[in-house]
Amino acid sequence: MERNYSDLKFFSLLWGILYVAAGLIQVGKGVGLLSASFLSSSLLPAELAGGLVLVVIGAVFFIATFEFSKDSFEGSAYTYVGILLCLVFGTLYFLCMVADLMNAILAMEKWTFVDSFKPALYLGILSAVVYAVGKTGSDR
Amino acid sequence: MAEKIKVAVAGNPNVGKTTIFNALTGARQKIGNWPGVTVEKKEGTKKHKGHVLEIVDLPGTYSLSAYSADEVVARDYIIDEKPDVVVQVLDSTNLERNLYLTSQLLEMGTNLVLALNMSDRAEMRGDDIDIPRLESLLGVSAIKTVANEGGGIEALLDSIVSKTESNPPKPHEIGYGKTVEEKICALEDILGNDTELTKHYPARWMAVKLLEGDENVLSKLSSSNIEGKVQNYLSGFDNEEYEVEMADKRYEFIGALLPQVCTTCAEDVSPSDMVDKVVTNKYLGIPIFLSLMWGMFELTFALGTPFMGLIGKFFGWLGGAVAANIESAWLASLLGDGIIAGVCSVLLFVPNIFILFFAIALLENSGYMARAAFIMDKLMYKMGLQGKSFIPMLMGFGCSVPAIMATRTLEDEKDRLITMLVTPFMSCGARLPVYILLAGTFFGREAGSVIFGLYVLGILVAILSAKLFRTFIAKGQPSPFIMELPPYTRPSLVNSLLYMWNQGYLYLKKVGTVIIGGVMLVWVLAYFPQGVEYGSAESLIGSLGQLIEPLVAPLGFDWKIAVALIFGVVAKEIVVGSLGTLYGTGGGESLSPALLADPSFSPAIALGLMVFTLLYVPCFGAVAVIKKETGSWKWMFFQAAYSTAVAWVLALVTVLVANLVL
Repeated sequence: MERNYSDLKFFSLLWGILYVAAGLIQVGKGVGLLSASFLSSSLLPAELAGGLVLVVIGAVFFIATFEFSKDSFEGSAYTYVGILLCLVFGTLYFLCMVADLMNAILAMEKWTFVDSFKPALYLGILSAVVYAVGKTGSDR
Repeated sequence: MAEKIKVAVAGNPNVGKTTIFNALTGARQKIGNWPGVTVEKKEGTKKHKGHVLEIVDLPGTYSLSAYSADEVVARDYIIDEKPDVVVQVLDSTNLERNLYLTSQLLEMGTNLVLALNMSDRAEMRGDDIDIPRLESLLGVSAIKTVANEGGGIEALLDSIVSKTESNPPKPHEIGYGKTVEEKICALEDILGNDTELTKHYPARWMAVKLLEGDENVLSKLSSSNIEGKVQNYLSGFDNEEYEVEMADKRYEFIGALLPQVCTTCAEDVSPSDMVDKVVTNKYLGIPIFLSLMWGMFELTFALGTPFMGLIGKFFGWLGGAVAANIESAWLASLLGDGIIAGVCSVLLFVPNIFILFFAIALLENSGYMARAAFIMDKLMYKMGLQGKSFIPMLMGFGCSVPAIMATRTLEDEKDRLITMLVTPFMSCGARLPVYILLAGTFFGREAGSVIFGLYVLGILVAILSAKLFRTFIAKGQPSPFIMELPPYTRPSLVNSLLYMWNQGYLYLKKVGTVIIGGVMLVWVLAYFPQGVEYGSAESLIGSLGQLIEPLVAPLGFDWKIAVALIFGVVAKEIVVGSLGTLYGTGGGESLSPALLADPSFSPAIALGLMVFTLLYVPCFGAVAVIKKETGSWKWMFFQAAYSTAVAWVLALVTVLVANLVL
């Protein structure tokens, strides 16, 4: 039990940092505080509302870390809801990517995978993989 | 001839009554995982084993001492219509609360069948309900059901039929203690003098209700010669203390019954509780709610766009074919500029409407929307409303008409009036085409965020207006909010698709009726008098538009927008339909380029127009239902005038600020 909590605590901290950092960069670019080319213009595009959503998800993971640091089992609730939010928004951006592709086909325009591969999507995929691996490990 | 059996489906709110009703009758009534979805009784029929069951779905009620308008509907039906069988749907995971209504139905002597719904969940958490013991102790039939999967429905139908074939039940008596029983006996003696009355209602039940101060039961004595005696007897003591004592005794009865029929293995913390820790968190609750809302609108816009393209291409082809093959100029114009352009402008958004309602259905059916009401309670209370008001307001995202009717779940009349007046500010599905057209045309990839912003603005205006009304019109404190949060469930795909279809169908129906009529009228006014350029300032519609243009000119709106807004009062979709017809675009996606090419349109004007459309007088249907529900012309005209004034001021502010920023 103790080991599980420390794994979840580390995971929550890492995911909190990833989501908040990605979100803040997107917000920063969206409001013009950072240049569009900072780090990568494709993988971290300017997006105010989308960036704020990532910050909210990151905050859920940070609260999970905080709860774990108090040895509270409630931390796991925050971690699992955080993962759920990662998956929900990952799915949403995946559907948006499919829609972009369909639009490009209909309008006979050029479509590039990288332009639609937004942070919420790749972080969502990463979350799904980590969750699946973690679940398989704990089931064993 | 088949025997008719009148069946009422009753129960506490949010226990699955409508799901049972749909499963019994094959109906497609709306289902939601929150209380207050059914506010009026719904009827359906079912043939079973040579009988015709006439089934009525009643609004949820916690007891037969009705407080809110929807509870009165349920109680009056059971008392006055005297159904042959009452099916009480119970939440098997919360028997203690549900059995309170059972105790009252038993006291009335109703022919009762208990449907222990969600029994799978109860079993999953380790509850063991002894059905034969429950049946023998209460003298009722009881069936375990899992309504959303159709489990137990056949057995329930069998039980309803066999219940009518058995002897009528005797009213169940709960002992209320010596003092109360003496008073009940005294009242029974007085009531016994009116044999006509006691033929209709059990004397003991009436005595109990009179002692509880039930005004509805008291009103039944108005034409009886014993009314004076009853009033005289009741005035001799304060019945409030007896009301509490009697409720306590009913809970004592339940407390004695439960351990005999149910072994409960309570969990420490359920998965629902775990999720609630996060989504109702003081700091995270509202940001998570806003994030999900934003995601919903982003998806609505992004995923709908390719389908819009396909529909646009089809109507573009159709418009071209009509223009090329019809020789009569006026007929070609009527079909191309009028009907195809107008109807296409509205049909274009059908995919978005379907996607939005599917997303709303997922959130509702999962149980999340009930949490949204919960997290908004604190803010709502500060603003003069209770969190329960947020439920009808959220329903307003679909359509204002059922949302205004859903205010019947509010017990306090002032709370209800304020909620009815502010609910139309919640952006309904009919306004979505206006946003998608204008946001998509002028804000490109940010369209989803712009649309989200409009929905949030609607919520803010509604809440601030509530504060204003509470301060100046309906003074006082809002009622405290007590709400049971339903457990989270995996949203049923079938129910979500059904909800999406029902809402989308209403939209399509409007296109085939009101909207087609509206755009044809716009075409006639745009085409005549003969000889003038179609849709020009010299046409009839041009004259009409120029007449009203001064009213909206300060907002930067020209006469075409003024006309579209006037016609939009009939149904908001007509705003887009009218623009399509006025610009004579012949269908397809060409309305967007036409708007971009029009110098009277700009991103700032588009924003102002979206804000105005969001807030100005609601459609005829909503206005009529405000009149019906408030029973007052005054409040109807007040809502129309207030909302239009707010729309005008905020649209002006939006245009001025946007002109500086954009």
